[in-house]
Amino acid sequence: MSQPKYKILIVEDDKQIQKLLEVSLEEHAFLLKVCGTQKEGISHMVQFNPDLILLDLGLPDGDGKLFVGKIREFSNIPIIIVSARNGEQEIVDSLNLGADDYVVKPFFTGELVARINSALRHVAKKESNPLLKVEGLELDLEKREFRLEDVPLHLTPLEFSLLKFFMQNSGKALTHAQILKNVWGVGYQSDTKILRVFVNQLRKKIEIDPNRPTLLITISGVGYRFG
Amino acid sequence: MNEDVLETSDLVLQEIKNRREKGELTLFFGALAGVGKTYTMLRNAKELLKSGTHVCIGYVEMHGRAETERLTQGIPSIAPKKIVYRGSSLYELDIDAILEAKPDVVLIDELAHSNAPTSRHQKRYQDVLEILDNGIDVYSTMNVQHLESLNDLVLQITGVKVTETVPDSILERVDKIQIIDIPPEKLVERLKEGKIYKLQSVEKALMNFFKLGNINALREIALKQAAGRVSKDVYDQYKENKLERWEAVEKVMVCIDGSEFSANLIRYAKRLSSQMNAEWIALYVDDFSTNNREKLAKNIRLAEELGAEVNTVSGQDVGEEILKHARARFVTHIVVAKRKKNFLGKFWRMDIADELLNAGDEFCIISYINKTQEQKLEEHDLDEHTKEEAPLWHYLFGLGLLGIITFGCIVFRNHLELLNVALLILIPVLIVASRGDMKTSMVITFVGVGLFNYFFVPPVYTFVVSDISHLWSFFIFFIVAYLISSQAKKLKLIGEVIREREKRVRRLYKLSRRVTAVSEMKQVIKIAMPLIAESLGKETFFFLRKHVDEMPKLYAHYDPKSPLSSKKYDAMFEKLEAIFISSSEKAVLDWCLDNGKIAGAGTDTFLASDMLYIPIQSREVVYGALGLKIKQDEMTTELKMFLDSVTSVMAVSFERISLSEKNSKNAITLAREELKNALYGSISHDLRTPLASILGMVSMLKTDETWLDEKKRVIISQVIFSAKKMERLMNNLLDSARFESHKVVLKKDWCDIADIFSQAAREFEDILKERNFSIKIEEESGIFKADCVLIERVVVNLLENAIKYSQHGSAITLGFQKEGARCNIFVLNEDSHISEEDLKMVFEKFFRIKGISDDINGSGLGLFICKKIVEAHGGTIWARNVENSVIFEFNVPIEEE
Repeated sequence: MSQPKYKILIVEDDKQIQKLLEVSLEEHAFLLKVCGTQKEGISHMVQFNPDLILLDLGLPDGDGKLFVGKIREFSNIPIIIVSARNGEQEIVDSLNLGADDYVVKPFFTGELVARINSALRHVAKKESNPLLKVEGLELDLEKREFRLEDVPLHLTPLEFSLLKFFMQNSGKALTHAQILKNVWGVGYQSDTKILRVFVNQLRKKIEIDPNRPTLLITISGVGYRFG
Repeated sequence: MNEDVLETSDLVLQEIKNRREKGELTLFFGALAGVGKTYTMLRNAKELLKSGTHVCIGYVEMHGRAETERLTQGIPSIAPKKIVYRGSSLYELDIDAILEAKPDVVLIDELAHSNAPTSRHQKRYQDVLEILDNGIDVYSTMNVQHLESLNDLVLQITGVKVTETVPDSILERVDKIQIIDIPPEKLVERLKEGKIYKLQSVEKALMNFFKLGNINALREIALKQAAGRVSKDVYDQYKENKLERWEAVEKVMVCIDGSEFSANLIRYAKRLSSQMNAEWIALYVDDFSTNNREKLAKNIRLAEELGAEVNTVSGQDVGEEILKHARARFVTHIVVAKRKKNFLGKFWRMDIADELLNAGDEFCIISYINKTQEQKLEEHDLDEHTKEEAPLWHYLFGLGLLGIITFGCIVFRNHLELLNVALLILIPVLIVASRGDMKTSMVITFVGVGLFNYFFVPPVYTFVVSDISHLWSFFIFFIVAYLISSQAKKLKLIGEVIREREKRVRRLYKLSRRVTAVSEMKQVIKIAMPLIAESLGKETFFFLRKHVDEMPKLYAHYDPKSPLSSKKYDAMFEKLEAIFISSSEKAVLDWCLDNGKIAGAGTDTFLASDMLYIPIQSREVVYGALGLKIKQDEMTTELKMFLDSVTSVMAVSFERISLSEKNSKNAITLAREELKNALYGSISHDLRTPLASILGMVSMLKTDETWLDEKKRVIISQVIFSAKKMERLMNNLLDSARFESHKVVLKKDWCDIADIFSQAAREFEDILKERNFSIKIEEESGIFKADCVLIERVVVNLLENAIKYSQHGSAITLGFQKEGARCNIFVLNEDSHISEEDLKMVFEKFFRIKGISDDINGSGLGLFICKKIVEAHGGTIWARNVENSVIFEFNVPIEEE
């Protein structure tokens, strides 16, 4: 255990889930702080200074989405939503408000840990790297060149910026609105048709089997996740 | 609920359609009987019959003419209704049978015919209008002399007064007109041959009507009328094409009152306006004079029937009011009656026609001279009005006062001049005269003059008058009494009229004010019924009809004469079973409700009824009808106006109430939906959270291999499997409950079928490796608009089934193709079969195919949910067997922009 322990703040009111998270995450060598309300959550933000927040949306003192907004006012700390509801709209709203990822109850600990690690990794390589690498893909931002397994491949300018956005945010759940706003611009936020078309085109270039993608994954009702 | 809405909107559509499709009226129009109208009509009908149109004879008058009778053979006919009236049986058109038979065209002879008194309508043309309203075309016949506006013209020409008339508006309603004309000589010839009437009546007919001169005159009128009709058609067409210069600039206004002569005036104005192709107005100026109300109402109705817009204004200066109104309405021609005035009248007041001629120089004034002696009639009317006997105490009071004053004057005779005495005696005369009763004041004046003469005028104690100048004073007595009492009488009348009017306005105001605050129909009736009943002094009923198909029900009854009613208004909703409504009354009520028109006593429809029925309706809906026990002759214009305003106030509040009821119902459903959503939300949260911890904890046990031995690991696997199964079942139960209990709200967005397929495949990644799985998208792009999450749900459920019911290594294919405006999505499952019986049932709730091993776990809800989702998208889902495979297939609209 030479690595410094990551600190995780768990905001969750259900006692059993608290226990489950505690046991399973301690197992993976995280330092934990558990609280049941948003109010406590905010005060722990300052005292405990966590590296990541696990947030339940159904809290006794108000909507968890508002908590995301409050945190985002002063911190870029990764936030992973733990939601019992399968309402996609809730998840989309939270992501648009600045949450980084989400898991839906019931979840497997393995899946949760993977999400946490991915979010932490994302923070670690925050520095702007002109060369993006994910699995076999390479995106050279300086040369504006894309290479697949070292073979240069032609991308249209829009495909390039779309892929760039995906690679820069790899491992993160991205909503349709987020992608459209960042790649196409503010006026395009609800034009999901154009996004569907371009994702389809991009998959044909980067996926081995575009019908069964492994890199550019759809999150139904929410958006996409890359890598 | 949703279906209900659909159903009613369908009904409304149907209703609108029906209303639009009114029947066409074809009129065979001639100058005289015997020109061959019926003959031509029947010939035309035969032609139609040949072309396959469903033609029926509703009523054809044979007049014993053999030719006609021969022609009717071969045309199906609806037997006329036999009506027994005062011992004789009459045959009348059977409207109900015609409406029942619903022919394309029905032949109805003699449009101007008056029906037997107990028939539904007074006149046959009203029957025809009802038939037309029901979308049946009518062929009918009519002679020119039956046209209302030509009534007195015909009288002038032929000297025969035609009683059976048809309002001119019917001629305007006619869609096609066909003139039947033969040379007059031939007509006379035909008459003599007995082709028109049976021989015995020929002489009479010839004498009265069929003079060669008459025939020519009537022909001319008929042709002119038809030509006018044709030019109106042309004019209307131009108007439709919006050629501005054809815009009517002329407007005729006729001034009417309650005199017999006004009717002539109205007919003249109608002719004038139709010749000029101008609009026309009938104006009644209410100058508070003693007008014959009943005749006035009749004149107003006549004007309305002839197509005039009737306006009423009040004011004492008739001439000025006429001019004011004429200027306000941009009238060009004013038609007034020119009266013969008596000598005094000429000095007294100018004739209205002259007054108009002097003041209204921008108008064309047409004064129509009254030749008949109807002045008498008017005076007669006046007398009738003054018949009201003054109470006895008026006389006693006057006489007593007169006695006291005379006695006082006798006592103080030495201190009083003769002139003072005269003035003192005038006092009781003035007092009595100011009561406005001419007879009393004249009696008192006479007695006063007598007393004055006897006691004071020299020679005293005789009725002899020595000085002629005293006679003058007696004369002045009478003049003063006359002037004052006539003025007072007029003022009193004005006061009465105004008071009556004010009372009515106040009642209406009270009604509308109280009714606006009310939120129940019952309350409206509770307020309105006593008000109507009390102010008219009539028994009043209210019939409620909640739905068009329902029988109307007596809802309230109020009898102002019953002491019970006035005490407690709630009594009007009680003991209604005791009131018997005869079946004939019910028929009138039904007609009134179905047609949304006033019917019963005092109207032209079912006038033999005991009651008057007024529908309470707003735009489309008839809420019910007001029933009023009234006699035929009690129906005045004022009463009609009062009832009109009261019923419209009621209708407006009924509409408001029913709308607000609908609104609150909607609000309740909305609240219920919200509650349901909240409930589903919390149930799904409360069930999932413990399940999440179970699964999470147990899966942790599994991850650390060192914790468990092989046996325990198997147990843990089973726990996880069961928990997952429970989760799936819970999801399905919640979803099916959600989809079933309320409308699925779709969040439509653009979906890529490739995305949906890949997502569905990811769910079963491991198990699909054991199948020959493929995705077949036969289109360039599989993008369509739908709720992607729900469509994915359908695909996942279908794929899950396919996996469950297939063997290792068999093919499973997900496919997509576009078919027109829809896209087809299918899941093919090789090596399986579903029996035809089961195919019909697979989408039913909790249905599971029998004979399948217990390994396959399902709730029987998956396909049910699929069906609901697809249907919500406006698509269909079905299953079929193809060779050795089963295909589950559904389609949804692509909905391109």
